[in-house]
Amino acid sequence: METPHLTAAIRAAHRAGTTLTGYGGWPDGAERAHTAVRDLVAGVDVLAERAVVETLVAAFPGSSLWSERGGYVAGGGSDVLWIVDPVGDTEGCVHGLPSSAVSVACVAGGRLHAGVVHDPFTREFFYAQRGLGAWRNEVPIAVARTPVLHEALLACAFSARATPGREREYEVFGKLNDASRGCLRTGSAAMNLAHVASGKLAATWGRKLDIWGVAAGLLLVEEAGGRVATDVPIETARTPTVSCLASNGLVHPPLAEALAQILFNTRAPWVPVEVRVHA
Amino acid sequence: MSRSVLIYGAGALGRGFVAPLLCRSGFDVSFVDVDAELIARLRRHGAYRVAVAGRDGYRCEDVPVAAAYRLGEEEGVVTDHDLVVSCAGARASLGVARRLSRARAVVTCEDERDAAGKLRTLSGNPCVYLGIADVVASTAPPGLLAWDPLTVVTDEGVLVTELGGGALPAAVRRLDGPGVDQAWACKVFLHDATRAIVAHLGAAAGAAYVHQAMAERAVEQVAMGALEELVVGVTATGKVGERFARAYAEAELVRLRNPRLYDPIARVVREPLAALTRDGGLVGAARLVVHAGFHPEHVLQGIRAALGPGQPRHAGPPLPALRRALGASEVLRIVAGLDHHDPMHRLVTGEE
Repeated sequence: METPHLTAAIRAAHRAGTTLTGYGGWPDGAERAHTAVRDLVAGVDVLAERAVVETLVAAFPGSSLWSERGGYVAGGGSDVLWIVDPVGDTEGCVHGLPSSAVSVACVAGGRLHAGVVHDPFTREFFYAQRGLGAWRNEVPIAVARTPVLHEALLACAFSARATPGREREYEVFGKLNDASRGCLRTGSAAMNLAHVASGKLAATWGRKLDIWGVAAGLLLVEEAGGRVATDVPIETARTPTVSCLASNGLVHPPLAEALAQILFNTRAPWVPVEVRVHA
Repeated sequence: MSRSVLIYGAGALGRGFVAPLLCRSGFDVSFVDVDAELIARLRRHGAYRVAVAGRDGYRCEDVPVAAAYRLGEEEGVVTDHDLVVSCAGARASLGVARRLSRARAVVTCEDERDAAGKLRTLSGNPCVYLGIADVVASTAPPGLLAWDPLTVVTDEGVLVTELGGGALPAAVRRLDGPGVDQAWACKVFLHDATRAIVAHLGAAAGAAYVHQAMAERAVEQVAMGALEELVVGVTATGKVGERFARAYAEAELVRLRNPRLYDPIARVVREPLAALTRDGGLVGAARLVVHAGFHPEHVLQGIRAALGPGQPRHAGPPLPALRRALGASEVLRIVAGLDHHDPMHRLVTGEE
């Protein structure tokens, strides 16, 4: 039986999703030219976050919250921490792509306990509770059985802004793209993780991703039978970014080897990566 | 000279119904499946048992297995067979379309009305025919499984196909277009929908098998009421004769009550929300009755049971967290695509 934490997380994600889709889709084409789309998306972000926070605090008074817009807000008298991203892939929304992800994670008793990733445009709810498993719209999900890298479809998420070490990321991205069935660069780390959990993708990774965009998805992958590696444990993270690799487990070793330096050891001198396709 | 059939899918339908049906008519039976363990077992045993559940007990038949292949191993032998039958699921059958391009005749027994058309297009083989397997085939009760874990329990069942079908024996009826429409409508609405209603109500009542659910007076009453509504619905389409529909419904009741079939409820209710899409499954059945000008009271009870918050005791993994968190009305709107203004949404929820 699910705990009230998962129920509250689903309700919160639902309210944010309803806020997102309540606009009947984002402006596109000519309309975008004369609409302050960025302001609109930012406004929707505020409304969605408010809906999420109201729902969670009403269900768990005194719980703490961590999000991009609101930052870390310590509660009182509760050991529950909510890590939320009310509108994922805002850049996609700004450009009229009908995709987004609401992400709500719950840390309780010092452990990542429940997580929900909701795409309101496809009407999909991915959710997990530690020890119970992972589901998509009430159907149990599991990671793919793809055994080797050259049969795997991968995805990653990285910032559109230039960051130090970016050329290394591009190098590994290119090599993994060529060594697999392809590597997608998407705007939503949360949906990448949900797709790994449901077996559509074999693996996903990202460097210095927003913690609120990946916390729920990482639990999804674990509970769907996959393997997760992060540079810092989500439960004890004190900075808002996390680097992570999540996979079906079978393709984890060659990916971990190829990505170790850019994800988990960024200070070491760069050594060109060799991807072992058949590992 | 004996004829041979290659059956894609060695599950309950392929192994339990199609294989013995063709075996009785003198076919040598071979299987293709993705399940390596199952294929190894079929090879090792060389035969398995089917228990046909009748009124007075089981009639057991041993089905010899000529060959068993893991998917991919059969590529070179498809054209050696007089007949190929697909019981592997609609998507899986499309995945092997290319291999069927030179098959002598293919019958596809998938739960999709246009399965044969799609397979004809993708394979380029004009000799592909729709088959409608009207049967309950299920895992066997423990006593029979102890003798042979490959055993499947079925009822007598009927297999019909479109006209054509090459090497098919006389035991398989060939129907013209209107005949196929009639058989399809009865299977989808009188069999599948009624069984789903009984399963969802039975799950809420803690039953493990369909016949146990039917032993509950209240569930049986709903099943009878739903069948009555659906007989009216399919008759109103003009595709099904009333006498045919009534006879089918009576036989369906006998089938639902049959205590020897051990039709597991968990298999029917494992994806409750899938049965509630806008036009599919139970919602489609309710629409059918509404279009006939009647209130689908009993079908709606099945839909409400599928939406209910209760965790089926025997249903296994599904966790109705969405239904519990969001309520029936929102789940209908978000997941099933039935918006609040949709009359069907109002009918199910009773909201104004």
